[in-house]
Amino acid sequence: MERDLEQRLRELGTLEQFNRDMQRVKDDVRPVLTTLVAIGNKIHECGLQEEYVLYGGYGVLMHLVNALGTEAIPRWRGSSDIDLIGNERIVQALKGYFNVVSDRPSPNVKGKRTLRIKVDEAEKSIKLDMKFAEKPEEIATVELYGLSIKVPTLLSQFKMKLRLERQLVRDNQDVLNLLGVYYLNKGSSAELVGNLDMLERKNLYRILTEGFIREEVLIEPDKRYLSSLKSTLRRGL
Amino acid sequence: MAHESRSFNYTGNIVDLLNGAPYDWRATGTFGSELLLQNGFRTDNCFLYVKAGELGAWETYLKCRQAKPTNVLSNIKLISVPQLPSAADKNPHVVALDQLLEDLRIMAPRFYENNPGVLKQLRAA
Repeated sequence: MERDLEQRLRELGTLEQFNRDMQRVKDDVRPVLTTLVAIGNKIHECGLQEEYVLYGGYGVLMHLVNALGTEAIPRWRGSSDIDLIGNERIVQALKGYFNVVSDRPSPNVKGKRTLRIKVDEAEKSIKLDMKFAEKPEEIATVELYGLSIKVPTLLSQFKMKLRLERQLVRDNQDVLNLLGVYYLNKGSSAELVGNLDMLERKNLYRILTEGFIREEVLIEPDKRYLSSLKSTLRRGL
Repeated sequence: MAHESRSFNYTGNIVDLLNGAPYDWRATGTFGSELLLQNGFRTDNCFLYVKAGELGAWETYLKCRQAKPTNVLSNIKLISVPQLPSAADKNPHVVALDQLLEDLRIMAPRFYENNPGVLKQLRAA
């Protein structure tokens, strides 16, 4: 871990917790998560905290941490890349502080660049996808080891995951985890469905029908909640 | 087909707990792969198939040993099935290899994607 980050976490009183969690985290997640925490720290130091949003898998993880604490981290599915919505100032800050070994436009997605950050000689570089786009209107701040991280609100993140063009099994798990957080927050199923459009409802119904027998889903709403959600979705399709 | 399931959290030694159970079980997912490869017990979520007719007895057995039913961060999941799936040749407490690989793909997709070496070892086991 870089010295700056260690010092910052020490000041925030979260260094011990961070080190404990990193010992338990999956091997492939550890360098990515450490880099993410370091990025959050540097963006804040540069005064750019209003200019980015973390989304994708790590955005989901932030909501899980918000609901369950950092105990969720070692149990989370993991992701090898960081997805940010940001701008050129964020890219420049990252280049100023991190060993960015490549910065290339995405061949498939307009307005997206892929940065590779080398964190350690022994480690592979970490992939950071930076989307140059309008930030979601609703943004939440989640605390991770005392640092503030900007993420789409739970509902925005939920909708983003339900609208993915190519839904992988791991994305379905993200949807179920976000639904679990919504359930723990005592969100009503009728209100949730009311906030979804037809495509999102259809996808949620399909994912719910596939069920919760998945190792990487950390929260399972109770049966009554799920059956009420399913019947509300059925009525709304 | 949707299976009925029950989730628990147990803070003691799960392998000892399961070995002491008077009911039959088949491990699957990452726990099943660890039992088959005997490469140490690292998983924090044990997925087990149990007979539908024994689900209630399993619940009682686990609760009597201080396993707490929970739907948040559970580490044991009982999946009730009419009949237990076939067992692996190497370990009667683990589902057969074909099913284990298919379950891993669905139940732990990230693990499945990120651990080609483990899958290779399983196929060779």
